[in-house]
Amino acid sequence: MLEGKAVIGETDMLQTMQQDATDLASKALDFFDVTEAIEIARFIKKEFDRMHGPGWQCM
Amino acid sequence: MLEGKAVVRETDMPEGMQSYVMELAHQALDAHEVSDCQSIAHFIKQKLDEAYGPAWNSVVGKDFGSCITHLCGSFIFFRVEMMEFLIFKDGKNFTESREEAIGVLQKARNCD
Repeated sequence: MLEGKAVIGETDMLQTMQQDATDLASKALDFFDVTEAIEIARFIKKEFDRMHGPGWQCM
Repeated sequence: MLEGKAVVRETDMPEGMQSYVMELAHQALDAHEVSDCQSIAHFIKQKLDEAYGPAWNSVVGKDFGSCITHLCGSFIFFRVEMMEFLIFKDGKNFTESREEAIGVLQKARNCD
């Protein structure tokens, strides 16, 4: 579990969408070990596809 | 400069496009410091946008996980020595797209 606060690098997203992204990152880091990078990416991408339409990318 | 041969991990690209992308990777590695992943990625993306139309995505690094949606026939994941390259084109028509979960984990730190 990583407990740090998300620090935005750059964004052109609406605030609510930014919040969705950082919230999902926090949830993913609670669910998965920090070394499970693929599973973390998959979790976030799938939620974004569900919430905001298909075709998202997560690295 | 990394001189090693590119090793394809996964791809659905035609052979000719694969060769072109890997040639771009070598050009980028010749032109940029190996630690400058962002410039390497940018070089490859720019060249592919010029050659095959816009909306290419280029991710270069040593340690990352990813989950993407790409246009069918436009995805390659390969390695040149310790550097990993994930290259794909955005698909706006999702009937022609597919999802990939890709990653490579190493003990080395991320480039950023």
